[in-house]
Amino acid sequence: MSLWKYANPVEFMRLSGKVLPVVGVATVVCLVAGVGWGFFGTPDDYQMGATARIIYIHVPSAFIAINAWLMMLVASLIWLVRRHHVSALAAKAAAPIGATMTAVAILTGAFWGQPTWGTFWVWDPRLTSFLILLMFYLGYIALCQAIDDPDKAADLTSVLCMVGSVFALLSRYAVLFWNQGLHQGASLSLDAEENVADVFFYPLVLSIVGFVLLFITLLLIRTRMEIRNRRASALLQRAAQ
Amino acid sequence: MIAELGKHAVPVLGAYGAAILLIAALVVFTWWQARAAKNKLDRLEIQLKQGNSDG
Repeated sequence: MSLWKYANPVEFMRLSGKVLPVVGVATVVCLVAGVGWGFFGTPDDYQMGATARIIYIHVPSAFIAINAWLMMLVASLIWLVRRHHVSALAAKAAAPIGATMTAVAILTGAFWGQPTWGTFWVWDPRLTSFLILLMFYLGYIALCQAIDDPDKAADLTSVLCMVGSVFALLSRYAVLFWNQGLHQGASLSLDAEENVADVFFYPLVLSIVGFVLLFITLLLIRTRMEIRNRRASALLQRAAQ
Repeated sequence: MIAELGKHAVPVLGAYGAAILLIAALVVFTWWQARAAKNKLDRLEIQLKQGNSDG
């Protein structure tokens, strides 16, 4: 069985229609459990106090903001190399989700920064790279809307996606190597000793799983919508001929 | 709960409020767009079928 058979819109619609209800229910369960556990069931941090509770929405939204762009990059490369329409439509569908998550990460970070650093915003390299990532998301959406020919729009947005990947990766790794700013180090790491304490770690992981499932649910819904819009345009064109 | 948050109630509740508002707006907007696309395609397919059967 080849993975590429799901690049067929009919096959994608059939499979995504079956998967969506399951992923949707899992999303609600994980989000409520993870964020609820973090907000109501964890103690104050000894340094940051109650503001530490913001990590249960800030870290997962930042995780999705970066990885949504990387998912768009993979989908764009598949479009450029193999010309599968579903991959181009999936990249287009992911952009508003990624833009919203980037905005959530910036806003929640500002609310965290005010009591912790004494300011809502500072031109820290890590924060600035995230703001540039938001600009790339908005530019990507604007470019999609500005071009009538969907194939041409997919070509140009794919190129934009490759350029923006520099900032997505910068946002990801700036937390690790850019030490002169105010932003603290990563909350999660493959090295267990660098992670936050267990009492914060488990609800945080559950929140991240919830946000990943939310991304998948919205991505499936939006990709199905894009496929339907494309089919409606094709039918209208055929009827006009 | 707000009393437990103490002096950090405003930033914590502000962050959660802003996040919930933005994500809820995205979910509602996505649902509305998806529903509109489905209705449009369904209507179009029915119109074209009727057009074909009318000759």
